[in-house]
Amino acid sequence: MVLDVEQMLRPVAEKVRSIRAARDRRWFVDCPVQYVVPVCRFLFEQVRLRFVISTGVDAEGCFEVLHHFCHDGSGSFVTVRVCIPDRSDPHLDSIAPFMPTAEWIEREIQDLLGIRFDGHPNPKRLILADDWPEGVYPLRKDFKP
Amino acid sequence: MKENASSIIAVGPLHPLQEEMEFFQLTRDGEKVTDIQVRISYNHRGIEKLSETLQFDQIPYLVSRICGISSASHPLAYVQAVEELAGVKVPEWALYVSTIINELERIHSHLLWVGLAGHFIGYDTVFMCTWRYREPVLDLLEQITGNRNNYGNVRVGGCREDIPDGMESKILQELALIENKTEMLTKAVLDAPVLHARLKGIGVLTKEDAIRYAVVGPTARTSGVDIDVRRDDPYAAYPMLDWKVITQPQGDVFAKAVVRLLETLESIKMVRQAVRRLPRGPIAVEVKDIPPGEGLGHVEAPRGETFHYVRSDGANRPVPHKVRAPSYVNVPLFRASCIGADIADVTITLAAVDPCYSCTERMAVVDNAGKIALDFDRLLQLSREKTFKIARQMGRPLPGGIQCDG
Amino acid sequence: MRLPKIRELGEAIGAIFGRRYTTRFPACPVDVPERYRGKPEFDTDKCIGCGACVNACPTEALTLVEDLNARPPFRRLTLRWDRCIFCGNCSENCTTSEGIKLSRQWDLAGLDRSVMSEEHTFGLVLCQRCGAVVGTKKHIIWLCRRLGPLAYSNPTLLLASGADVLGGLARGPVRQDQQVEIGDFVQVLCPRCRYQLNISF
Repeated sequence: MVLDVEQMLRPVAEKVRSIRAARDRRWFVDCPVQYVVPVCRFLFEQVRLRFVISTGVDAEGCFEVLHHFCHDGSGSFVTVRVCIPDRSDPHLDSIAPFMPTAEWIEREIQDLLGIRFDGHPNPKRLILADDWPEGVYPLRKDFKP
Repeated sequence: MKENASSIIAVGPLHPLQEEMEFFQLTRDGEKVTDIQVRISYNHRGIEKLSETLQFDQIPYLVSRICGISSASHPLAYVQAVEELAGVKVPEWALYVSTIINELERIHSHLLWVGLAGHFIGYDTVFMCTWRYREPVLDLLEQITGNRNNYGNVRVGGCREDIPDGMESKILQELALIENKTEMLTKAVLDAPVLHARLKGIGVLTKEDAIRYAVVGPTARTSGVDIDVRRDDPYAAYPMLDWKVITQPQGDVFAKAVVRLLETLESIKMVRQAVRRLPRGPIAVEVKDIPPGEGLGHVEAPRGETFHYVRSDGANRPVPHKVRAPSYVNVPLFRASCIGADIADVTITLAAVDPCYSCTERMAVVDNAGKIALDFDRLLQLSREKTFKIARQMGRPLPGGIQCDG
Repeated sequence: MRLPKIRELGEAIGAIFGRRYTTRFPACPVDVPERYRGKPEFDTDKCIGCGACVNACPTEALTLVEDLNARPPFRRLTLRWDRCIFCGNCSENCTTSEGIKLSRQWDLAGLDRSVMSEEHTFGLVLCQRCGAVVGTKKHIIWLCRRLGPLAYSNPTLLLASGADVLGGLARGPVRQDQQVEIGDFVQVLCPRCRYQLNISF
């Protein structure tokens, strides 16, 4: 079975910047910051993809957040990629309110990369200790231990 | 529920030697659990940060130390991600060797779980028995890879060690013994009326919740969610073997035990086929350098899907490397399966997901005043007492070799 | 009192007279399989001190220290097996593939970490022009042996490997600022100086 992601994403086509197949069964969907919630919600609730995990990346010039979804019927990965250009106060809409699995990983990214998730149901620290200094994010490139 | 920070501190010493520290704080009302709070990351080891300082060929040894029990799955998932990113095709022999090692790992991990589950409900004989039959599997792994755990046998481009000559017959011989004992155990579990009464309908995770919480592995398969990375996104030699995915619709602890036991038998079948068909040839290809790009790898570990994401900028280190172990998505579902449950059933419900042993050890029950009412030992005792009560009501001998009529 | 079944009795008697499953460690030694990955051991004859294992080591159990001001200059490889994870990456990346091997020795527990290390010292060959490290003496001799007659095309290899026979290398002051001279061709040079020399003439 081959997954046609372009066909699948037609209902939210105007909310997606580009769809790219990196290789067989590995799809990357570029999504503008403001549409990350509707696109992820569509993938999770309508297409019923399984949410795997999110990755936060301190990339050149921006912060990237990748939401990885898996289509188990075909073994395909659909990764929603968001670039957050604002490096001084990076924030993104939370997908945890409708996806309980994303709750921990968003808190983790918030701890380690300092990306704030707006609308997160429980935005407490997860990874870092309670006495860790504010504003020090270990996974950022400029972090000095 | 009243939050009381001092009660959390007083819970108990943290053992930094054990991996996967988690702390469960249960709130109870009488015998029922009304809330459960999970805290993780008491011993965060910063593997992802550390990984960015190591070279691509050194990372398999690092990621195999994420979990001692899944120390074949993590490196395999990582290596698959890097191979995908570099466009490497792995020789067939290496695929078979990885399959054998991963399935042997699943056998010993599932047997370990069955033993612990028996221990939690008071069947210590099961505990001793399964751990004794788990030992030959570890010996086999030691003879193949040079270590009982942390096999360090995969590398980017293939495997490091082959199956030694003459080892095939030994593997088949040991498998016959383990299969015999696992079959015996499966029959014993399916026939034991006490176990039926004790475990059926306990810690039920509905299919809807399983999908909503996106759980993976045996935990999902017992709730009727038919997913298995080995079949859905075939890797290693799995597409060449004849096997089936075990699912059960009930979602309770009993179904979890049955699925794990049947999966052990399937794994034995798979190893047997792989050993018989073992091709010979080159075991690895040289990978010179890793081009810029990104790769995703996932592997069906004993506890579920292990996921690795690796990105390379053309240098010899990954930027970044993301790891997701199966327990990361399986543990939050305790809110779905424990709330409203009996307090004596909590230990086995938490253990049924098969997190590491240390997870369940760091557990305390808080009553409404915020004081610690029960610790782990007491919870274990409650769990066992319930089994004994059921056994007595049914007029059955008490489990665990404790043959007293008290 | 419930009477035991015959099957249970049989199991119990079998367990009493059966072979013991556990071993009597530490009273008896435990044998490990052929492929067991234990403590890494240097083969002092075969190891050339190139430092490839140090680069491959994921846990910094192997470290390398160079002292260029000592007489004679040396390089010291230190193996701390209290930090070793016995992965075998060192032996896999060994230049001679025989210099370091994982032994089957596993009973390494102890109370004093400071004794859990070993050191190996190698004499260094320095560039006669700039003073940079060319390699260890053993490495250069090993290269010459591998190259055979081809080694005659490289004065650095030839001079450095024969230096002991010829009574040691002359070691003048470091003359980095000076121009390269034609006489530098018959000197032990690091690759950088050799490159400079080659493009100058």
